[in-house]
Amino acid sequence: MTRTLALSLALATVLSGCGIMNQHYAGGESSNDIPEGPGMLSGQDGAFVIYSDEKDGQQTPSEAGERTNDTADDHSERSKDAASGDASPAPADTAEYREFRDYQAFLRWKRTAKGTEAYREFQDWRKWRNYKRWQEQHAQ
Amino acid sequence: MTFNRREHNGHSKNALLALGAAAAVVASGQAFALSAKVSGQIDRALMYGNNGDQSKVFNVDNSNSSTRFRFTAEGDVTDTVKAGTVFETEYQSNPSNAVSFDNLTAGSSPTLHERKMEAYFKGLFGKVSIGQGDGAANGNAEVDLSGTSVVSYVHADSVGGGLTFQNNGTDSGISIGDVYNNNDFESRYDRLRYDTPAFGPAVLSASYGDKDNSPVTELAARIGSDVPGGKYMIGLGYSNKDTGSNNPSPASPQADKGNVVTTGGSASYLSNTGLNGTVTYTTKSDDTSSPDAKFWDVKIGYKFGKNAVAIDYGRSKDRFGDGYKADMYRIGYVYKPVGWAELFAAAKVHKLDGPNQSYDDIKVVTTGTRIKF
Repeated sequence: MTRTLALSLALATVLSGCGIMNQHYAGGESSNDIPEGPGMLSGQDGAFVIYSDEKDGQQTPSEAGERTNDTADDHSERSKDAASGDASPAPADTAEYREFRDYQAFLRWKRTAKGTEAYREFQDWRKWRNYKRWQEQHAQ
Repeated sequence: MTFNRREHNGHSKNALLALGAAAAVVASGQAFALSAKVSGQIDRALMYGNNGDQSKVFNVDNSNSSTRFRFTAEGDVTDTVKAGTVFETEYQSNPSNAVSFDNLTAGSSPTLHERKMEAYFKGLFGKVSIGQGDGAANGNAEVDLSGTSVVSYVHADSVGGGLTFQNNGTDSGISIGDVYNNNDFESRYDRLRYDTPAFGPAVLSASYGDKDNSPVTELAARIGSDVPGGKYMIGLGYSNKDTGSNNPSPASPQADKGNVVTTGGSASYLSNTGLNGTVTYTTKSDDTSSPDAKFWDVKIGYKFGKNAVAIDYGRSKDRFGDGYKADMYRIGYVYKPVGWAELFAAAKVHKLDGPNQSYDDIKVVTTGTRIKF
């Protein structure tokens, strides 16, 4: 048993030393866990967000604009920004701030609504809008 | 008794020190991003079982990956440290490993069953978890990149585990679950766990806790990476469950040495072409009663588009007693039309040979669906 354990640990050490490839898996989940990926009702995130302080609009519009493809891995970077004091709080009652809140809501919807009828309609509208612009340019 | 109490106190002190260190790290910071989420899945199937004498169709909850839900929360406590919680529980009506030819339904009504109730801190130092959750080695004998584990799980007794073998029309009383198991270490229990930061593609883990009134120690390594032409995963583990230390008797100290030691792991490779292969090997030695048990399984599969198919062959030896050899061969198929739904089917045969005794095969056919909500 001791020999098997020693061999196992030696193998682990050797493979650790070969860490020149991109890391693919180092997590602790079993293969029978709830799978990663989207959920039927919860959308692309695969989970219902019951609370997130991002909803409170603690980011500035410029921060959100830079991070439309935000992921969990970006959290630490965002935290560093906040800790360094670069993120100044947005004024709560300005029209710009209300527009920003609407924009945040739109981004959340965009992330979670893929595959729904409303999302397809939105994509169709975007195509139609591009077509109208093209039409206007060629009319001139 | 005095010795054990002292030993426990020592571990408790270590646990308190670890928590104190985590608290000190946290105390220096300020809360930033916070989020709380709910997720879950329903996993149901129809299961046909036949032991050569009896056959039945069961409507079951697939114990390969049971119906469950969880609450998770995570927040930044400093710019480099996160804290989080996981509360996960399963709720199975008619578990596929519990039904039998005598019991079309297992139990009178489903009950909530604990899986994870843990809190953790993670950062550059790695991850420290405390509470009910995965032991360090849990899942390391179940690594599988075939995409078929929802129906072709290496823990094959999860489906039909309660079905019993018979010989010449006489029920032996020996079930698939009695003779076949992949020895995936000590699963989940109340523990303190530490995971190192990733060293290249590897994470090393250790846990100490209590399960079934016995202290458990586990060590493990998980390695995974993309490589030219595909990707691989490897899980290795060691667990020691000290089943004798809670009842030491000076009169018979030998009888008190009740270590259940499990060693082994699994490895899986998935080629960019979709071809994949998985091997599992574990041994389990029990000082007090059963003989050393061995398990191995070899799986070959192919993933194409939204489909995954695999065949595997496994053997669980000496688990029920000396000379008992249980074999299993199986084909499994999974179709994933969208990211949140899987449709699956599998057919398998369980064989059992005992000392001077052989039993009729048990055939199990399963089909169902897992939907993540």
